[in-house]
Amino acid sequence: MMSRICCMNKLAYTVAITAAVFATAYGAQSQETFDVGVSTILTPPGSVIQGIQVRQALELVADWQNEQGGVIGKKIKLVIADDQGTTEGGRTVAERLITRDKVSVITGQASSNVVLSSLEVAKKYGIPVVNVNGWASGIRTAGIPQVFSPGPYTTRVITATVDTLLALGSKKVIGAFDNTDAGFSLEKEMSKQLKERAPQIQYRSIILDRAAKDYLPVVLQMQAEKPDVIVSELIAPAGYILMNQLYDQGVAPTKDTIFFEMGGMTDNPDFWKNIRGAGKGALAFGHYHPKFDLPAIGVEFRKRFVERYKAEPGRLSFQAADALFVIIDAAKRANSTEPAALTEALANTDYVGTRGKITFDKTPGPTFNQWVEVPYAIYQITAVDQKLDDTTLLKQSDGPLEVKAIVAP
Amino acid sequence: MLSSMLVSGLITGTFYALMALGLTMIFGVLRIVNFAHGEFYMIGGFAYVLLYHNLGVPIAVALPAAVLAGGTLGWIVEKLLIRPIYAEFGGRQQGRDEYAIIVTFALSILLIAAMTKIVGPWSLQGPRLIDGPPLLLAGVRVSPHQIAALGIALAFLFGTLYLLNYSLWGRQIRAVAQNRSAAAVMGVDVGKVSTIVFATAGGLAALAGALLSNMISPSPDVGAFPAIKSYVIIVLGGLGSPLGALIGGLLLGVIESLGAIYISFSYRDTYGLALLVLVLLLRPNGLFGETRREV
Repeated sequence: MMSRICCMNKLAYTVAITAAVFATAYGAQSQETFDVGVSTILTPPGSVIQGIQVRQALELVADWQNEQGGVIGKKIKLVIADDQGTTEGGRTVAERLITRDKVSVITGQASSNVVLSSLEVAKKYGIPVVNVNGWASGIRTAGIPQVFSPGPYTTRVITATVDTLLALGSKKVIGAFDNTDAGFSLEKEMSKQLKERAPQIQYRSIILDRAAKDYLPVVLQMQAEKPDVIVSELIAPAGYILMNQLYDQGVAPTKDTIFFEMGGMTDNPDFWKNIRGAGKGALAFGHYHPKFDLPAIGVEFRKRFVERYKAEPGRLSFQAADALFVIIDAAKRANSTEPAALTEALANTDYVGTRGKITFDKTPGPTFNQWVEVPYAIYQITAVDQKLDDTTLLKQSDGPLEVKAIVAP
Repeated sequence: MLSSMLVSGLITGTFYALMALGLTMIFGVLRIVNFAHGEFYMIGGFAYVLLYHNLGVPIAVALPAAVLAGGTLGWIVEKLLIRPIYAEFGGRQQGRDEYAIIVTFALSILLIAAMTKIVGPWSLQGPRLIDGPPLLLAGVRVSPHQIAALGIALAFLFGTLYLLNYSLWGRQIRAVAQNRSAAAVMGVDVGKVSTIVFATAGGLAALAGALLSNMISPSPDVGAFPAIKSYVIIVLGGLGSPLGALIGGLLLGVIESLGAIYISFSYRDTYGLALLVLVLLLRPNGLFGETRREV
C-alpha cells in the first residue's frame, strides 16, 4: 500500500514538474513573439487570388523584419486564418484569433464584408484591426477607434472615377457593381457623385451577382444602349467573365465604348491567363504602378518581392505590406505589443510606407482612421499579355488625366 | 432583344442539359443524387486546359482526353464508393441515401481540395476549339468556338438519348432504372450497368467543363454553379428522365435569360427556382417524371 502511495506521489510530482516546464516554455515563447493575426481569403467563395497576394506580402515583410531582429526584441509571428471572404468567416476568424490565438492585432482582410463583420469583434475585445482592402464606407463611418484603413476606400475610388469620366467627356455611362458590401457602397457613391458633379452624364448602374457565370443578357442590354464608357467594379473571377463577354459581343473596349476596370484586378497574377483580347484597350484603376515614384522602402519591397516570388508585386501586395509596416511602426513607437498601446500609436501614425507617407484621418465620417491620400493610378493596357510596367500611365493620384495618350483598341 | 435572349438562353440551356443528363441518369439507375457531379465538370475543364497549356497536347486530343478523365473518374468512384452502398443496403432506401449523401459530399470536398493543392486556386481560361470572326445569330455574336462547342454538346446529348432508347446497353440501363431486382433476375449485369452509367455521367459533365472552359474559366470551385443548375433541372424535368433533363435544361436557360432582361438580372437564379416551384405544384413529379412506379 505504502509503495503504491509512494508511486502515485512520484507520478504527481513528475506531472507537476512537466506541466511547470511546459508552462514556462510556452510563456517564454509567447513573450518572445509579436503575434499578428492574419485574416484573409485562402479558399473560395472569396477571391483567393487576392488572399494569396496579401499573404505573400505579409510573409515577406514579417521575415524581412525578423531578419533585422524583429520588433522591440520580439519576432513577428503571423497567425494566418482563412476567412473565405465571407461575413461569417470574417467574424469567426476574428473571434478565434483574439480569444484562442491571443493575437495583439489583426490584419490581412482583403474584402469589405470581412472587415465589416470584424468591426464589433475588434471593439468588443479592444484589439486593433489594420485592414488591407476594405473599400466600403461603412468601415469608416462606424467610427470604431481600433479599426484602421491604409488601403483604398470608396470615396477616393469614386472621386477618381468621376474625375476620369469628366476628363473623357463622357455622355452616357453604365456602371456594373457586384452584390457585395464594397459593390453596394461604390454604386451608391457613384450615383451620388455623378448627380452632384456631373448631372450632364446619363448614367445607369447595375448590380450583378458575383457568383454568376454568364452575364450575356446584361451584355446584350449594354450593347443596345451604346454607352461611351462601361465602368466595372467586379472582381475576379466574375470580372473576367464580364470582360470576356463584353469583348466577344463587340461591346467594349471598342473605339466607341471605353471599358474602365475599377475593381483593381488587372494586376492580378492570373489576369492574362483568363483575359485575352478583352484586356487590350481597357482603362484600369490601380493602387500601384511601376512608374510610381516609390520611397526607398517601396523600392526595396519590390526588389525583395521579385527575388522571392519571381513575379512583380501587385497593388494588393503593396497594400498588405503597408498594413504590416504601420503595425510594426506603431509597436516600435509604443515600445509595446499590447493592443491598447498599439491602437493609440496607430492613431498617431506618421510613417513613410511603400508608396508614400501614411497618416490616419481623425475626422468622423467616411475617412475616419483612413489614409486619405492613398495613391492611385489610372492606366491603359495597350497589348495582350502586357506587363504592368509597359502599360500607359494616364493619371497618377491627383494629377491630370492624359486623355491624348489614350489609344483606341 | 427577345430573339437575342432566346438564342442566348438556348445556348446556355444546351450546356445545362449536358450537365444534367448525367446526373439524371445516375439517379435513374442508382437512385442516388451525386453531390460531386459539379466536380466532374471541374475535372473535365482542368484536364482540357492543363493538357493544352501545360503539356502542349493538341485540342483534338485534349478534348477527348478530358472526357476520358471524367469517365474514368466516374468509373473509379462507382467501383470504390458507390458499389458498397448496394452491397450494404441492397434495395433498402433507409440508410442508403444518407450514405450516398455523405460519400458524394465528401468526394466533392476532396476533389476541390486536391485540385486546389495540385493546380492552385487560380482560374485558367481554356483554348478555343476554333478561332475566327464571330457570326451574328439573331443579334447575338456567336464565335466559331461557341458554334463548335454547341454542335459537340448537341451531338453528345442526342447521341446519348438515342443510345439510351435504341441500343442494347440503353435498354439495359432503362431496365435497371425501372426495376433493379427484376433486371438482375432477367440476366442484366446491374453492377456493370451502374458503372457504365456513372462513367458516362462523369464523361458528359467533363465534356461540359471542357467545352465551357473558354467562356467560364475552370477553377477548383467552379463545379458548384453547374451542379446547382443540374439539380434544379433534373427535378424540373423529372428525376431520372433523360428527356426531362434536355427540356428542363433548355427551359431553364431561356427563363433565366428572359427574366434577367425583362425583370432583373439580380434575381436571375431565382427565376429557375420559381419555375420549379410552379411546375412542382402542377406536376409533383416534374415535367417528364414518372407519376407512378410499380414493383
